[in-house]
Amino acid sequence: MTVLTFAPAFITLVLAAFVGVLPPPLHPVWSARLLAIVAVTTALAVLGTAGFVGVNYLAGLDPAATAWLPEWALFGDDRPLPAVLGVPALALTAAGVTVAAVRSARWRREIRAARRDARTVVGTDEPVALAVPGRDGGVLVSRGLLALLTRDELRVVFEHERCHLRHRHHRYLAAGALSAAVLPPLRPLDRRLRFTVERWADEAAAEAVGDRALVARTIARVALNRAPGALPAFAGNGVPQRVQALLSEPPGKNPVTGPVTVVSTGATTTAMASAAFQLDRAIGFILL
Amino acid sequence: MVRRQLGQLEAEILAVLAADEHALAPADIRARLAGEPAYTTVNTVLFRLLEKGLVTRDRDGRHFTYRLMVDESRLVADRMREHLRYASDPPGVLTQFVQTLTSEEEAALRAVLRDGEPGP
Repeated sequence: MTVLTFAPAFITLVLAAFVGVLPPPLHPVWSARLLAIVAVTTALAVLGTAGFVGVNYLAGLDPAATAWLPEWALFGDDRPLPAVLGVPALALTAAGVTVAAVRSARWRREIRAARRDARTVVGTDEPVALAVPGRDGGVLVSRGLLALLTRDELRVVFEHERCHLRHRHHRYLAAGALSAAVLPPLRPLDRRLRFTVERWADEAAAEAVGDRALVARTIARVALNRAPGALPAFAGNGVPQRVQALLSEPPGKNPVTGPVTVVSTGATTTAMASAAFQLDRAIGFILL
Repeated sequence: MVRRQLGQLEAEILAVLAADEHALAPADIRARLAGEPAYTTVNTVLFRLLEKGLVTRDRDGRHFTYRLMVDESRLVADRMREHLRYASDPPGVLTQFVQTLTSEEEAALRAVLRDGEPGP
């Protein structure tokens, strides 16, 4: 084990912290992808490193059992790891895997429940629209929303939600939320990702209806007509910033910089995550 | 192929039905839609909405009249509250069109609307 063992986890974590605070100035379509990729690869790099250190710690405790392990999974220097490193690494791995499993099970339950209701108009006067992902998903609307908005405004809501569904935004949110649950330092990145996904859908709606001010007005009207303080705990969901962004100039589409940045960052962080999982050594081991 | 989600005309027809307490005949609905789409188009969309369970219809002489199928049941309202809770949950995967504003956000939003609205 050397300092380099921790390099992939360290480098991806620094990058993740950086893009969480100072996101790249790209169109939401590209920054959402970039943020999701960075979130997932960072979580994988850190978990991979922790799992690897944990395995080697256990191997040091019971040298006889190392015969079971493939050679590439061991550091190869045959020095026992200190418990100071080994125990937290094991705990982090176990906690990460458990959290990921529990969360995914909960989401599946929630989505299944929401699907049942996506087939009727719900009789609440609160103006509400939800995108329910999945094959029999759709847009769940309340009567309050249908009554509040004009036809053009309703179209904005449906275009916005359709963008979420068409681009499967729940997968981005799941990727960000899982990474942040496994690694709390990724929370700012996750918040930024959620905001960016909403901006993506706003821009898609603006493009579909051809009127940015109309989209801004619709968001503002629905937001101001929601019963205030029903769920006061969640600050910073960015409605004012979304409206502000729609009232200013449309963002550049980044037809070249967007894909180039996403692909190069993705390739780098994926390489880091693979290194953390010792994939380079594993592949070398299989080939040679 | 991605199945088309609630299309624009479907949304418009739902809006027309939501605006009226009474059941409406397709001709009335058509008259209230922007650009008066073809009668058969309106009928097709109404039938699709009926299949989805979003509207109900009754026979009125030779025609059907349609009304919005609103699930007023206590159970659905409770479930809706659950969905809203999930959708406002930062680590969740459901997305809401907008979430509830905090009072600071409401002030910020009003400020944006006051200052940022582009002139006519």
